Amino acid sequence: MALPTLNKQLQASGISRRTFLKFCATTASLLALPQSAVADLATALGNARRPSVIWLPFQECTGCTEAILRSHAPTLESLIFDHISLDYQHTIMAAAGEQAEDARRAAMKAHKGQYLLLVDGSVPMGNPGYSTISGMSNVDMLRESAKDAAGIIAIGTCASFGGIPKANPNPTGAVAVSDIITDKPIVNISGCPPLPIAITAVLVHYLTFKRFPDLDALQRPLAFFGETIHDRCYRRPFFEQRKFAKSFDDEGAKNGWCLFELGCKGPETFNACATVKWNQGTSFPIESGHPCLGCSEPDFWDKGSFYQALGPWERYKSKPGKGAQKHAGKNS
Amino acid sequence: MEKTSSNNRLVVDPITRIEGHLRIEAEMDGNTIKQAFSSGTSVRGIELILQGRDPRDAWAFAQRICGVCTLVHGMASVRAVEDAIRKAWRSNAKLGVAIGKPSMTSMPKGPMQHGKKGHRQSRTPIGVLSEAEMAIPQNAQLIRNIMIATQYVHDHVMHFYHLHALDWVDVVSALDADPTRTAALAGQLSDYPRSSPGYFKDMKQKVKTLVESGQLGIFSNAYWGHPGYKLPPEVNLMALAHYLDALTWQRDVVKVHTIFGGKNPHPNFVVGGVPSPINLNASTGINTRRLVQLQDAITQMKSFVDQVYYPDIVAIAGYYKEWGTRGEGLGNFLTYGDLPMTSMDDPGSFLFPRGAILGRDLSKVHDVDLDDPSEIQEFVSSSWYRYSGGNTSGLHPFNGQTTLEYTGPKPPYKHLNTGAEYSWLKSPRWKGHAMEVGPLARVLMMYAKKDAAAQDIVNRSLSILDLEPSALFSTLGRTLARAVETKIVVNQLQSWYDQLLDNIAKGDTDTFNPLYFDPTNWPIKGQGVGVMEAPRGALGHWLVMQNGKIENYQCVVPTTWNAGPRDPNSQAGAYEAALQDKHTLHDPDQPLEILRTLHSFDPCLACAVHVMDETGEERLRLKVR
Amino acid sequence: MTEELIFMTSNAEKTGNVMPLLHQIRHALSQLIERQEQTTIDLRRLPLSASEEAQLEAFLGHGEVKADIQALGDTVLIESRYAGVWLEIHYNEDVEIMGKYVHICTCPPIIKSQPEDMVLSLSNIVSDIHSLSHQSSDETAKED
Repeated sequence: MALPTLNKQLQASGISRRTFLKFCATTASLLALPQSAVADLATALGNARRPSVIWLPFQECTGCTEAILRSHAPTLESLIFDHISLDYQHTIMAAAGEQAEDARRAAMKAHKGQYLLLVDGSVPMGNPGYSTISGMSNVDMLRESAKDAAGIIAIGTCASFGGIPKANPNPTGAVAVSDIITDKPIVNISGCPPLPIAITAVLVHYLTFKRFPDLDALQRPLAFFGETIHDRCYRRPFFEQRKFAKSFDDEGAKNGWCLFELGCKGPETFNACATVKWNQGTSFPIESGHPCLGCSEPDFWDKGSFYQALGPWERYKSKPGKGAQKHAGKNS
Repeated sequence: MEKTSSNNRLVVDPITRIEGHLRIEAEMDGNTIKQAFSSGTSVRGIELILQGRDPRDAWAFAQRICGVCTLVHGMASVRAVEDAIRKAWRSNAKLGVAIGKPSMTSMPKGPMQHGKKGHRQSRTPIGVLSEAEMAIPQNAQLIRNIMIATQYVHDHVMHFYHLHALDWVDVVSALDADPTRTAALAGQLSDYPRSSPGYFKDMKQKVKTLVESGQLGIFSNAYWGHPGYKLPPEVNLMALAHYLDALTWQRDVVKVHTIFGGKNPHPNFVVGGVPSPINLNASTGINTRRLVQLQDAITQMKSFVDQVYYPDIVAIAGYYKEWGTRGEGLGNFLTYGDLPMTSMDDPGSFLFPRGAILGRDLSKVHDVDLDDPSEIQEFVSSSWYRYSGGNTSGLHPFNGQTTLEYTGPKPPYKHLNTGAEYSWLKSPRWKGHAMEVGPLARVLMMYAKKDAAAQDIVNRSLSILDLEPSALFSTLGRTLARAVETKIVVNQLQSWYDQLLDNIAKGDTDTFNPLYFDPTNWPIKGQGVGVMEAPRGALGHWLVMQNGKIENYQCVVPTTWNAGPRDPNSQAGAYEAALQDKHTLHDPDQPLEILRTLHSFDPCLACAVHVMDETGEERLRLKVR
Repeated sequence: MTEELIFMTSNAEKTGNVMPLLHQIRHALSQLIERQEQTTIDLRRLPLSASEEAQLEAFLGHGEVKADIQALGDTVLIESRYAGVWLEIHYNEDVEIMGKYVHICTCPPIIKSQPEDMVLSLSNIVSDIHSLSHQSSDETAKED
């Protein structure tokens, strides 16, 4: 059976082409694609057929799933989620037990070599009994499901880098997806939890171009992980002026000064929280008064106290002529 | 599911639409469950990871126990650290001993070189503290209450529509609904403004498109058409419409957490108060714009609960009254209490009282002492852990030890050895009793303590449904109690917000007590317990700190109480007991009845299986090939 | 700038990007005139403080055209006081800004009617005319 294209589905949902173009334009800017690509993106995405997606939960807390449930711009993004066929997702799927496992195997068979594998949570290597689903160890289920996948998206810091289960002393021998699967394209969308829009954007990119977007050295999409929180932080002028909050409700804190001395990890954390923000652009940790924990970086749990300053100010102050210029160059 | 393959054993794994990894094995007598065994099948070891850390960092680790009830562990953790510090201050005050010590090399260095209140004092003894000086600022308490209450409303609504409703609502049957009649029905239930024929017509079309596409996605392979589904097509359509509405609604509601904590899931906390400063004129923190947004969210929560969630529950319950006589389980209930009007040291001021009820006897609420080593104990006789003193005696969490020892079958396996150890969950007991925790426990506790608001809503709901109070002790009762307490909490939210506004108007913008945050004010050794009523039930973190570091950290969480395995006296846990109460399956291939009862507890397995202690030594060293 | 001013706005940052941006716009406009080459500048990809963004918008000002588009949230199109230079702002249904662009072109693409939408419109207009003619013939019948 030929699966419906996104265009068909848009029409059925009463979404105009113009609205769709608007979505493509904003998504292109999220993905750092040139605006001249919008028309191509719209054509390719509109003609994309519904892909099968299998989502495996391993050593996780469900925070990543919850983050996606909070994706913003509901109507259009949910349309993208409607557009993928989520054939296996523990938290929301109606089937359970054998029927759930049947659904996973049926999707793997029907869409062999075509389906996307999404994983949240790390995989314990210490003992197969540390984490099982339907009597099967996580590592076996990952290998079985990855074998015929077109690609893998590791969602969250646990799946990307091992995350909290891997924190010292790593009691269960937790590892990342990329430690186990080495022969498939893998995107890491780290963060604890990750920014939901990064997940949507990567899916859109995949639907459109049939491949993942450009990645950094840690296999994270550059469009979201190309700059630090600090690079884009609205409190940065205070950092440059050495105006720091020293406590959580002192005058500095009340006036929105920089949280560097309260331990902010923004200068060493690559993520887009400062621009995309959380929960429909409402805020992000620094805006609400708490230093960045650095949750999208590998081993952020083991880099000393969250409230310990990173180091001397001089190490992070901006060098003349850098910074703004660097970003400006990207737009032309 | 290896149905009846050997000795009549039914296996459901994975249990979906829950948080985490849960497996149920049941011994069947024909189609009736004789013995049920509940197993948590995944472990991470977060308590072990917490050892040796800075207590101020603990909330962030503990919070990652669970991303659904995303703030509860962070909150309990912060409270545990504050309790440990405050207990030491108080005992010093009694002895007339000043706190604050000459600098200790093993202390973590505080980032605050000159905090507002603790500046000069932090290097020399700060003297004997008064209760007022020890207090967490009232604004911080109010903000915490608002965040917790928001979690309740969000979690309970989400649980019903997205994790539980599909046990009662047949998606496919909604295709037979008449949109006009659905609108008329919805109009009788409440004045929800969206209940128009056009709205339900659109909704029906959406379901139709989905079903006809042949790719049902998350709705595939379910038990549609099972005779256990009793709702008329119109009620199914209405509930499905609200399933989708709730999805949109919840995105807005969680903004309360984002405003105070910077994001959701996993908002930020801080020991000593809240991280968000108040300055009405600033462009950051809690300012006028934020307060307006908060009021909007609170209004939105209240109208959705009053116009959609609660009326839906009552309407749907009316078709499933027989579930008011099944799935009771233990009849014992435990609450730690929460939502203080003053402080966590004053349980009398809690909206949800603390106490225990035994054997359905609502005439007697027993006192609960969280520090008494003989009251709350955890057993591991059926769990994959080892106690140094043997696995038959229980341990209070302050002395908790949980050495990992997997003795289960080697994966892939078909059956667990339920005669021996079969779960990553421990078995917590109160004075030796297995207890149920959660919304039903809280509502019963309020009811037994004659809380007027609770009695009113409970009695009204029961009379609409024409049910006796005894129907509360059931699968249906749990789901109804969750809606009842949501109504109670959502009504309270506004008053906390108003109080916060009042304080700000009076010029009180304190949100943080820096004395707690400065390690030089900490005891050399101390222990504390941080409790809260998580949406799923009583949650406690027991912390021992020494030389500024975490010595021992133990969490006893709601789903461990409810989903834990049998204890040394073979007493079943709450899930197990509930499944053994009149569960005859229409078709063991479609264990809908099991899902209904399990989901009525709102399982949260990542919470329950966070435990593990002591070094795993070399055998845990990871091997990646 | 005094301390007090910095207190009042946390967006006191000067990225220094306004002038280079204005020069880029000037260059793009001349390209448009000479070679009919269109340019879109994505303001979201460019660090600008709130005050600089306001400065830019004030500089561009409002020209003859302002268009409001309702497409799952509003989109506002303004031709600046410089013909051929447009400001486009996309909002979502929560009135959050999803994108902000400067177009240097004769007409921003989103304002044009889309072929796909027109095809659908044609079938709608046919059926609407059809039902209208039925309605009026019904009324005629009643009068008889």
